[in-house]
Amino acid sequence: MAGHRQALTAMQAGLAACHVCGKLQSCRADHHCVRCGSRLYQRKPFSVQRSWAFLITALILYVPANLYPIMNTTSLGVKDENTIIGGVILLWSMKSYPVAVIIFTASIVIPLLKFLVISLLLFSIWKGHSGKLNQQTRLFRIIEYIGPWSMIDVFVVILLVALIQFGGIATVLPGSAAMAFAGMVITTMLSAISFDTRLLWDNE
Amino acid sequence: MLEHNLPIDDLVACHSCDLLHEKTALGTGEKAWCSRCGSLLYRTNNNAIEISLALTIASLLLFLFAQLLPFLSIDVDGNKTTIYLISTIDTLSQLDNVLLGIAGALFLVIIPLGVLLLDLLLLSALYSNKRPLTLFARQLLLLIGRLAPWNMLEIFLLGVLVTIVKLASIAEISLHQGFWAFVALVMINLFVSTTLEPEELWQAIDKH
Ligand SMILES: [Zn+2]
Ligand SMILES: [Zn+2]
Repeated sequence: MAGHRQALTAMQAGLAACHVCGKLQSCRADHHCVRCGSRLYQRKPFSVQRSWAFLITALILYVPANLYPIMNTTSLGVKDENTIIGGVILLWSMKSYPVAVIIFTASIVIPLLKFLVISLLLFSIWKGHSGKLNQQTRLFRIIEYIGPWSMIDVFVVILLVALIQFGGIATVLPGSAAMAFAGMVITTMLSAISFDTRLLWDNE
Repeated sequence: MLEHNLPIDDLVACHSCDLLHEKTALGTGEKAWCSRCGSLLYRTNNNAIEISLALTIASLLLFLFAQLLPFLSIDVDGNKTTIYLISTIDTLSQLDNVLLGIAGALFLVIIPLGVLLLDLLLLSALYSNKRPLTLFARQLLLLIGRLAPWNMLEIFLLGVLVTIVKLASIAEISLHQGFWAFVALVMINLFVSTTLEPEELWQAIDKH
């Protein structure tokens, strides 16, 4: 265990840990890291604003991602348009329970959880609430880790489109929701990357 | 501004809450945690550069095998088609959906291959101890850090498994060498990312 006799943050001590390489150093006049040369900040610049901007973009993309079909299938002349939730229901009715649960979690639950957690934490910073900061930090690390797993459905669409083309079983084309969904995952990831957990603790 | 009475090199700041801690020596395999928020502060160096270099070379070979060897075959009523991973990109590019083709190429080929090649350059430079590499090595490591969050091979593997289950109801699927090379590649990737800390690489560059 590393000891801390004086409960002091790097910012209070006039130090900054580089956001890119982690090197601890005193704030310098030229604002560049001594080790990696990146811009040196004590807190990520415009963290709250950028997180909000990406999160709101993601929320907007979430609407077409769920309303429009993610895949258009034509087999034996019959056209079928599948939305994400429609695909989950279909899998469930075909008794593919594990896959239905994976897709439901990755495509519906994880994005909603990310919206909820990031906006709650942003409100917490704004209101100056300290509350249970340990839990808030851990919650953020969890959603930061699970966020990219939402991409599963996009990968499945890409693979199905390519594989079924070869197999000649049917024609599968990516629907307009596929790009909206991929954009949604990427913007939530950018929102998490812009977020600075240190801001939560600055209120303590 | 408050002054700290310890030299900077003896201190470490928590990356989650910014609290300063005094560095203490760790035994092998030990980790230091933040006393305020519980995040990982740092851990012992695993001297993982040599082993990571070997595994990176292995990963590059496995990546080539995964892309170029038969990946799986689909059997519909006796009509068997063998599919290569690399040809999925080709199929996507023939569709009208250019963006999805670009996304596929980025996530399946360009980013993972890019990270592997950058790793190979950086690790072999550090391993061979050549002198004039610091600036170059720093640039490489910065770029690797930028790309890392977008390297989603393990997520793609889960996507492959889901796809196989979905297709299994309409066709018979058999898995080939390319698929198994891909599984091995993902396993090695996960192992390297848990043993090799960026901090160890930064320290190795600093020592040059
Ligand atoms: Zn730096
Ligand atoms: Zn902490």
